Amino acid sequence: MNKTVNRNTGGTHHFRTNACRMQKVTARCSSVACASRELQVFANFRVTDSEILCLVPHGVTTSSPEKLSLLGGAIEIETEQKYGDPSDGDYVTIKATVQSPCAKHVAWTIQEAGGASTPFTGGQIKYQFLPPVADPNLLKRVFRAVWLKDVTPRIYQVQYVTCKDSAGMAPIEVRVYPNAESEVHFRFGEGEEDDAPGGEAETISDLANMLFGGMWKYIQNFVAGDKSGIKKLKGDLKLTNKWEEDSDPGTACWTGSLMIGLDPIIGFDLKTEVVPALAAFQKVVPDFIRKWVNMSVYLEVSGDVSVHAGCTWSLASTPSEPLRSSAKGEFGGKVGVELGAKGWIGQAEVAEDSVIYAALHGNSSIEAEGGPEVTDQWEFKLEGSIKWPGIAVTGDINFWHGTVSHGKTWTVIEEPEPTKFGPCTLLKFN
Amino acid sequence: MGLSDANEISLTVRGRALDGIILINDIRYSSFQSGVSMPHARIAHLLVPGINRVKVQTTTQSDASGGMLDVRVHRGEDELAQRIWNSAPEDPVPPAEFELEFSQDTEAPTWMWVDSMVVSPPYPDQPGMLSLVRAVHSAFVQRDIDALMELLAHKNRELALAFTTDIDRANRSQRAFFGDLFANEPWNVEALDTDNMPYFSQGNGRLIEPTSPDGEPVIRVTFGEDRLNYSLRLMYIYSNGKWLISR
Repeated sequence: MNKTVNRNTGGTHHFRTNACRMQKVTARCSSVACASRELQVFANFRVTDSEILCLVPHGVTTSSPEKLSLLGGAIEIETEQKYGDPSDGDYVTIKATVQSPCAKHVAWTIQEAGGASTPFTGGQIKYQFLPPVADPNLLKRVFRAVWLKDVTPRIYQVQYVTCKDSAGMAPIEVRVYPNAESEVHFRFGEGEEDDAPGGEAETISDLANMLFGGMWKYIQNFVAGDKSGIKKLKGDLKLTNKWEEDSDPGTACWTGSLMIGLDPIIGFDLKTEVVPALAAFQKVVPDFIRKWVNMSVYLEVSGDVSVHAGCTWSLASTPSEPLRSSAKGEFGGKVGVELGAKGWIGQAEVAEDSVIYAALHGNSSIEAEGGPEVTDQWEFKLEGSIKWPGIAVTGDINFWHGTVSHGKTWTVIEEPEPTKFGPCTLLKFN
Repeated sequence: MGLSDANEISLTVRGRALDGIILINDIRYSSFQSGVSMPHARIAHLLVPGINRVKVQTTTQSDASGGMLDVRVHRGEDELAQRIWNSAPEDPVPPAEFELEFSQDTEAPTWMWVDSMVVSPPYPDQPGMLSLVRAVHSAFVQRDIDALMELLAHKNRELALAFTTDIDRANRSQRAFFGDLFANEPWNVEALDTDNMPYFSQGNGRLIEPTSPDGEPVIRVTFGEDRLNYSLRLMYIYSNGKWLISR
């Protein structure tokens, strides 16, 4: 990442790139090619000082397409080196554009906070700014990803004087953040290659239970034995976070994204004839019908509930800057629940051939809806609800000899209380 | 299930979040509300030699998302035709009509209604049809099994053939059924109002069904302590100069 930064002192220092814009896809170059950057220092600061004769009073003549300007007292850069690998850092070339022949009179010092001062002379220097050493005390893990938010930058002071400015300028502070991008990608439901969730990722694995909570208990009541028709969680969870140069000049920002696509988070394609809880159904079938029609009832549950949710964020290193974030997505789906009839061999001796059809009317759907949000408490949350009206059916039996129907609805399964989940915090940014 | 012939043709309809009407060869077979589960319904008595058509006409409920319609025709276990619609964001509206076409063995029986006369109002010998309607109604009021069996004799013969059942066994079944049905108390037969009795023409004008003004069967009974409903839809044909109860 070769980048030219114009030093335009005398005001607040900033360093603007477009790197922190949300959802920006940044093509990264290799660390070798990225290791050099140029910081041009234009000495137009203290322009009120008339004694400064040899300095170019103004003028930004950078080759950078970004027309950068520095307006603050500090420059933040992110190096191409990974956090915890401070063996190499970005080379930054700093130039003092002064009126000839004074360039030879420029004297520089670069000093790392708490370290020795390194002197240079000449119109420009090239210096390697190293990234910070990893501090294990600051490392947190979220979904196995290293949480880089609290990284402490490595700080350098850059100062120079000229022959006409023996007092020197106020030092420029260079804060170096690691270019450490931490990314985790969990894939669920893709066979043996599945990522086994662990640590905090168990939150996702358990999401189905969490979301379905009470509803799951209902389902289990009706599904005895074979649960092979319950679809496995399938999808992705991808979490990234990193430091990069902000669109705000001279500052770095911590950015990231969390994308969840679970489709389904839970799904059903099951048909069970073993429905112990539906024994009650038999009790509501009138004697006359039971004598002639011994329907075997089954519960058929089909459909998926999915979650597609994501958020992106960008947080400038400047404490007063607000979190820039967005969340989008949805939690939703419909699971159809049908009560089916199968078989109608009645108890009566000659009943078998008497029935032309037996039909049950009235199915229902388990409906899920909800979505994500980023709160003003800097949390990414997901919430939703699951509603199911239960099952109430009417039935009619068409015999050769006429149609018999119940005049009222059979409530086979009462409407359960709606299940609500959340808001569950999937991420906290601070 | 009750199919006694492994090669019998059956119709399975499953639906969710839909109302609908099922027609077989232009004959109203059944209707449903809020979805349906109707597995392996017997339709042999309504089939014709050669090409047959099943139609399911649907009306969407207020929210058809999550809706589904699955219509299949089987011969025994073999699937002859199927159509399926599943609600999806890209396909949220159910088709207004599902039509399935399948072929019936040309050696299958040809029912009398298939070759009966196509009639239209004013119907020939309408008093003859009315007297049959009244006779059936009277048999239900009187709970007269013998009279009813005689009135339904033609229908029973053809259904026994359609469902490959011995006619004597079928008659025993029907007597047992009506005996069981007529034993219920209370027993309330809805009055017959032949002055307000529209005729519903089906089977391309060959089958005529007298109905109540709201399209329901004219034979309707509420019976037993469970207050069950019994109804008998009857379709008449005009053949050889007289009316017969055909279906």
